[in-house]
Amino acid sequence: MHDINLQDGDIMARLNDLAEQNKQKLQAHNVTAINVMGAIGSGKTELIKALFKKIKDRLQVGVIAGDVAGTDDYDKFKQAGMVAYNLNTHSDCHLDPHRVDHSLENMPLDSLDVLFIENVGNLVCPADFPLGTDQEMVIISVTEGEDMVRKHPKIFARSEIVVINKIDLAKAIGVDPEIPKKDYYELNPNGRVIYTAVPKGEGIDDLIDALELNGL
Amino acid sequence: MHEYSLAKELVNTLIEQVDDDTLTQTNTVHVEIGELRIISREALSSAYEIIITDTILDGSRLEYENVQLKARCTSCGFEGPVDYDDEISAHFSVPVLSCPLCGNSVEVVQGNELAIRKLTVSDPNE
Repeated sequence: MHDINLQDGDIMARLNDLAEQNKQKLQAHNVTAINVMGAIGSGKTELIKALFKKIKDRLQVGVIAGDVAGTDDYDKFKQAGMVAYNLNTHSDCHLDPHRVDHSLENMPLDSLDVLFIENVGNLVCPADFPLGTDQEMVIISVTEGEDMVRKHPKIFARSEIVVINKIDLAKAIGVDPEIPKKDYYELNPNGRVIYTAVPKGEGIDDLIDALELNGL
Repeated sequence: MHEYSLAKELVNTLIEQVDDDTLTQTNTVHVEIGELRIISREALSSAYEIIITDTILDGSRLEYENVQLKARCTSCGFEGPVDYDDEISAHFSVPVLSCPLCGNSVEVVQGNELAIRKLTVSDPNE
């Protein structure tokens, strides 16, 4: 028996390298990419559509719809008039930089300014996989309860923007949105929290500002 | 269950970096996991076993080495281990780290690893 040392066996570095390649590809085409993460039912799809409606007159917007199965979100994006690509992971509970790379090959990057990448609905696994986007945001909705940040600290600790969605329902279900906000600021004092209510258009302009889409 | 994806990355890294003869003789793959990384060792080992079945790596197994958290203070320059509140559960805790000397924020210099460090290989005439 003998031991052999491996010089380049760092798996996280490997994923980071792949993500960096995606980032360079996006930058070469002047595309600003945003990784949209959040639990199932937090409202990722409707929020992306709401952002699209606000900026579509001045920016070309594309979306990668990441889901385990089906075309439901993809169909909604197409119906809204977005340039969309359906990315089914089949077994995996998260997107990874390999899959995003393949998806980018199927997007008309030359004609896009902004690309939303809607991650699989999950607050645990996506945290370990950098995709190469310029921005990351996590969406939670008040209907998920007051303790979402405390239960999934890792994903919140690394995200600069947190959206607390369905804020119009907070009173009706007896949830205080200040609690997840406070929990998040403890994890990430420099982050930004935005309250949104998509049907009323509340908070969408603030989110566009936080995502730095105004200057594009 | 992101361990399956990580196990695939691990196997791909081995295939790319190590020649087939060595992989056939490999008994143990030594993997370092940082204290802050949320990875189930059991799930990673199970996924690895499934992926390598009927390949040249069949029969090899993963062995884990923990890497202790180390941080560097951005204010006073302290570098070393940092205690943190681990009360929620080991699997979900993400500590809010602060310097044990001055209490200011720190950056992690060690503890986020997932890396193959070495292989234990049988000699052909063993």
